[in-house]
Amino acid sequence: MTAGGSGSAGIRLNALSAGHRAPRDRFTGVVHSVFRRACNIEREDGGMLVLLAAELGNAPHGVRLETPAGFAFDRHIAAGHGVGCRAGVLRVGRSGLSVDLRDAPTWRVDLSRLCLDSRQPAVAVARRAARQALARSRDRAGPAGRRTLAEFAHERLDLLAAATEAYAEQEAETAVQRLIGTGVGLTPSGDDLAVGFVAGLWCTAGSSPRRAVFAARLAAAMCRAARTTNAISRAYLRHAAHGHVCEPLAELAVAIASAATEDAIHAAVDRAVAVGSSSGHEAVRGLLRGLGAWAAGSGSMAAIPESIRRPAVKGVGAMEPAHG
Amino acid sequence: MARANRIIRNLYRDSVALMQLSARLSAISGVEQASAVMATEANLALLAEAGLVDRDIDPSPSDLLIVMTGDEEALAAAMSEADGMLSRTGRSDEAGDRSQRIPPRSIQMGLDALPEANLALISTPGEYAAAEAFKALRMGLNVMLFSDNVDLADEIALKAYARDNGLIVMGPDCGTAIIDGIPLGFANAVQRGDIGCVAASGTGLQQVTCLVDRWGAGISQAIGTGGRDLKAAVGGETMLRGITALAEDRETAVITLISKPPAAEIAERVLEVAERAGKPVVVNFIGADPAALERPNVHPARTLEDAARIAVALSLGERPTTPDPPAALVEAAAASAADLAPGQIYLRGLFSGGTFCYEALLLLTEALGPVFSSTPLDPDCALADPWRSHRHTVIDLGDDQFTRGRPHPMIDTTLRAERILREASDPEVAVILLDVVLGFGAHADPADEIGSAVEEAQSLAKAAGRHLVFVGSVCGTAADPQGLADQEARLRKAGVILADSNALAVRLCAGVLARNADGKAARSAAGKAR
Repeated sequence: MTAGGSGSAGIRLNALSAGHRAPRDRFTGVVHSVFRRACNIEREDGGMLVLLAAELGNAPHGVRLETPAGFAFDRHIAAGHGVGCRAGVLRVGRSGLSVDLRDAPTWRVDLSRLCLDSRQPAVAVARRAARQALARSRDRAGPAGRRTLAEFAHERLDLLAAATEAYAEQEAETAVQRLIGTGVGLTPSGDDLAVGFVAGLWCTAGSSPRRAVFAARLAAAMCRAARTTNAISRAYLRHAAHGHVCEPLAELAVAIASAATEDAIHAAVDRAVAVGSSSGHEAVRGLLRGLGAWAAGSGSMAAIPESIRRPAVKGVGAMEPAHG
Repeated sequence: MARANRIIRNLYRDSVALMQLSARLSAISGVEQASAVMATEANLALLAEAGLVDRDIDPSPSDLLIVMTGDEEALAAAMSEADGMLSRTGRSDEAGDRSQRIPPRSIQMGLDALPEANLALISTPGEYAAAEAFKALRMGLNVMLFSDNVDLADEIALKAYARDNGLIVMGPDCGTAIIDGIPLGFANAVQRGDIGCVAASGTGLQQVTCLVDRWGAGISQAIGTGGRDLKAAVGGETMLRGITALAEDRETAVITLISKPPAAEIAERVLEVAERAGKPVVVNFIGADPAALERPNVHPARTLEDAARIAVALSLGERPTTPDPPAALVEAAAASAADLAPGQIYLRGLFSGGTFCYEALLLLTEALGPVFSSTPLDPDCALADPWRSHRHTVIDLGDDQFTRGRPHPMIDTTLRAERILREASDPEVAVILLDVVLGFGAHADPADEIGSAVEEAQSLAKAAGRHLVFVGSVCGTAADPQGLADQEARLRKAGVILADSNALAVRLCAGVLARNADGKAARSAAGKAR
């Protein structure tokens, strides 16, 4: 079957879940880009929605579909196709593909609710386990040759981490501006690192007003800098700036926050690095740097009254029933 | 060592594909290094620093940038290889275009082909129309129901469903709308602006939107309700929804409502909503006493022309005024009237637009007394035979009794041309009043056929030693397919005195008849004196 060739046949897929930033009522848009397992839709209001194959994890602005085995978006949809969503049914013009969003539960993630304390020994152990798993996965990913641009991005992440550790806002803003757009891949390595890094900051920011203020300002700078990268990357950066990341990365953060077993941490890392070609790997790298940025810092849980502390882990990445 | 760059606009390939491309190009003998990356500012700066790209290239972050160094010959081969690899995957498809060629045979297919659509225009025989409209509503589409002969119960149910689901049903029997600048049904190509209209009358809506256009303002949205919407049973659902929608619409600054007088309780509800709209609302309940419509925020209008004039003034931030008819027009009518014979005392109004006919009946009855019609205001003034005029007569040739088995007179001018000639042969006829409606769906060149009929009628009258006064108005815009200026010029050339609006044309006719009656009285008095 060729792209659009199924126009008269029509394919109706059910949504398994929809990220809480994914609109599901009335909107109009156009297919921005299509891959085998994902399809990006640029909405008329400038926002992005991503359709994801069933085997992929949720995304804040994503809709996971009950795709049949062997289904490939790029065999049905082409960039430029019109898209409309009416009465809970999303239709992709010319392709005959429609998605029923009406019964899809909402997947919600908010890492700022984790209130992870990186200085807790159990959390430190979990972070270490994650770093080891990441290093292993890098070995499996093969030699790092021809990754000059990615290496630049790593250097820029180091600068960002150092500025963050010192609460040097101006330097951190400059570093994140230089980081975004740097590197290889559809979502440049620097963008993936920034997504992970700010996610890591949000995991720990909830435990300290000072961290929360710093993270918020850095997130705002990141949103501004996101203008310099492509639209797909920009969507992930802007959601991450508010503590909303893709499910595999969120699950890894939760596993670390809850000091899961080493095996569980390794499994979570493996799932997270499997996203994309290098994106998952870079995002995990960024996350671990973000989680560690204030591991020895002065942020204090005592600064926040017990009564308003949010429960750690619970409700960070959760599924809500449709229309719930 | 040579270098080669290529920017491919708006091309997205996943990271695996980009890495595979880079690896494949690098493996080509003679290529030193190759990279396919997104052309972000950061990447460009680094590549420029390394001397791999020029600083003055101007890609966007959505572009794919291929950068290579190596032997010149190898680079050419590699670039060709890159083109081949990229063209083999994921480019816009031709197959998609093939599917587009299959005309949709259902609302579902239409929506599949055009998923961004938010409105379905339904024009099936009335017995099927409600079912199709329900289908469209259930798919989340607003509906314009052009069809007539839809059961009242279905209309009520459709509008209730639409209300409960945040949608709107225009119709049934909704012939005119302009949504987001797109004329639907019988509508005109008006310029866009900040005046929003909701109307239970198709030609009423055309008149107001065309005058707004003529007087330099524009239309944000023009919503038709269908003729029964303001009846008590339907409750004015669409008009109320339309007012609310326009009140919320940031593009709309002034709202204009057009209808025959609604049921009293519905009028009250409409005016209450209008009062709270938060923007000025011009109300023309044609034939209603303007004083009875007075409310804060509500600007009553007596005629369609008044409605357009007040709306334009409010839109432009000016004080609404009622100017006198243009002197040149009055003089032209007077000059034409001077040639009338004493026995020519009656008017014949031959309309294609139902609301124009109704408005003319109201104004002429006020000015001249009883006016006979096939759709009379007073049952005592009903024509015994709609095909034969009696004294002052005004008829709507678009009414069912004339259009059975024939096209509507806006589309086919034959019936009107015949009637013009018949009226011309009546020695008591002084004035023939016409409307000419332009726009989408209307006759492609009405001036040609109506102008010919007017000239022929004038010749007939002349042969009988008489003269006829033809007065009319053209409802259209410069951007209409027929072209307002051209149509008006040709009608004038044929001898029709043209006013900007139907109401003004009616006033001119009344003036001509009054003048002839005065002349007759004066001549009669002079005769007696002799």
